[in-house]
Amino acid sequence: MTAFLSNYSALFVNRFGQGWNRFWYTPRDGYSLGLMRLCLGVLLLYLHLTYTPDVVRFFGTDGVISPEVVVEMRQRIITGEQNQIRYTTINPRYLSYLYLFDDAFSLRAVHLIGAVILLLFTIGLKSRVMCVLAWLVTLSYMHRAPFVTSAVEPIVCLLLFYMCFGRSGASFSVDSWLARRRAAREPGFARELEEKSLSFGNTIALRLMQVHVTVIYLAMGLAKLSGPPIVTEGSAWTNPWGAGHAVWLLIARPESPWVNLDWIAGYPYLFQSWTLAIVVFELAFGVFIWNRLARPLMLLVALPMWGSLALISGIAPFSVAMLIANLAFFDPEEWRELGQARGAAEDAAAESREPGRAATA
Amino acid sequence: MPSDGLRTLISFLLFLHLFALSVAVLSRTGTVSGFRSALRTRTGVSHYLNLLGMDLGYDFHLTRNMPDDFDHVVDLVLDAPTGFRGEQEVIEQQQLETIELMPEDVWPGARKRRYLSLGLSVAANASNDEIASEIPKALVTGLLAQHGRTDGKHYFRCRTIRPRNWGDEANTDPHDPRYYFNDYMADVVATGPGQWNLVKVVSEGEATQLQRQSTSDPATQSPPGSGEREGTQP
Repeated sequence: MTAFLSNYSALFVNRFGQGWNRFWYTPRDGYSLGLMRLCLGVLLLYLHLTYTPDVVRFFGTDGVISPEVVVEMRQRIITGEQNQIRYTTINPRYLSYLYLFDDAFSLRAVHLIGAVILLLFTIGLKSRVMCVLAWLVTLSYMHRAPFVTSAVEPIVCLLLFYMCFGRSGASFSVDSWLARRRAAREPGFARELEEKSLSFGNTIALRLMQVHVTVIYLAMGLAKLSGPPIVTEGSAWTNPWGAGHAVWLLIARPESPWVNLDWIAGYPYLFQSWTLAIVVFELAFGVFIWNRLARPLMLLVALPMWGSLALISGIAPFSVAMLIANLAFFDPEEWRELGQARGAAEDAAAESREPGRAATA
Repeated sequence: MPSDGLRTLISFLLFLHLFALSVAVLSRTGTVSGFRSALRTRTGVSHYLNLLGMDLGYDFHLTRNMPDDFDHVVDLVLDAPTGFRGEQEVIEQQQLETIELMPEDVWPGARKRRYLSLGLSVAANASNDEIASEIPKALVTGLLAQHGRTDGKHYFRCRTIRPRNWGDEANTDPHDPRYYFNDYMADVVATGPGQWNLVKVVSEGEATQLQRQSTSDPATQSPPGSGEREGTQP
């Protein structure tokens, strides 16, 4: 028995350690990260530029979001306790450089600098530094104006944070273009570039994104299955996701949707199926995305799912951010292998039907 | 692959980060126990994740058919007459100037979403008397300063636009007054040049509720954030 326990524990520790190392530290190239950086950069630029008309209106001397109210409300909201501050969180003033400026000129100037940083991040020039700076810019707006943030900001912030650990400039970037040009001139640098192409930093960045995105999908799916945290006694309430009319509630909000789909009211089965499909997809994604065969299917189904949600809910940036987050699971090599596996399976089937044909072909 | 020592260090940091993340998510999921809440608040998890902008449950539900999930609009009626309670007829008859927080035809969608979020922030805190006026006061001060007003008596209101019921007639105007519900209303009174005080207007519904509460009838309480009903609930 002692020998069994000793062997089992040794085997368990050994296998677990190997699995852990393989999961987090197997070096990967920066193709997916580069693609994500490009897409995320475009989204960040869009979000940043849409702040431009309001930056003084929100944060200026006569702005509607005064620093005092943010600090006051932030500390209270985070406690989750009404009328009571149980602990103080980090003062938001330390988390955003925007608190340092309130006159129109300096606000516009720092806003412009932020836009330049995001542009450089998008095109991939000095990618590693720009990634950190882009994260700081995005985080600063989030901490300065928590009342105007929605679900998109936390998603882009986490993607940026994890991206800092990898080489997001290894592809789809000015950095990679410059490196290729230099490698063409200097053979020594070409070898160095080849050696650096695989990095465990890329793996850690992508794995952290994958784990976090899975948590988000499961949390979203489970939240739709459960009720709100507080249902006051005596109030009639039905879970719209369970009752099947959640999609209609999104469509019927007068200010939010980007397209008018009022006609769907005449087809309750349509929006009920749509509602159910969203819940099933979110729960399924959190599980099946880890299956190699199901992964491409999940990623493809995500496109119409988030695309349609963007139109009806008015949260297009959030939908786009989630699609970009999904790219953490996109591995072109894996897709190629799956394509080849299909070809091999077809060859095997042809061989079984007509021996020798596949070999001849 | 990195050296053993580096791997150990990174693995330790990964463990700490994932632990913090799971605590943040679990402490906001389902019935929150004191233990989960304490884990988040007393171990530094909340501070760490707040710094990274990750102190969230990520339970984005999109809608739960609760007041917080609907669109909220904020406006300020300037030079409101005494006793004014947001009546549309009075605004039209006396041609009162109204400042909408959200500019008309605001574009693009991300900008519009920010104004709607700001409205939501007012509505979400409306039922908490201690902090209900904090954001409205900031909005009023900013809006009036931007319009060059330093004195006078005005009327602030935040309203929910409830979505239509899918059984309603297809061509119902989503901006029909019956879909508007008051979340928070206040008389805005100048206390000095550019200094404003907000006196919350207790709606008829809230007054009734308070009266009922005083007679210890908890079953008649309305859901949090549900303000005065201006029209018929769709």
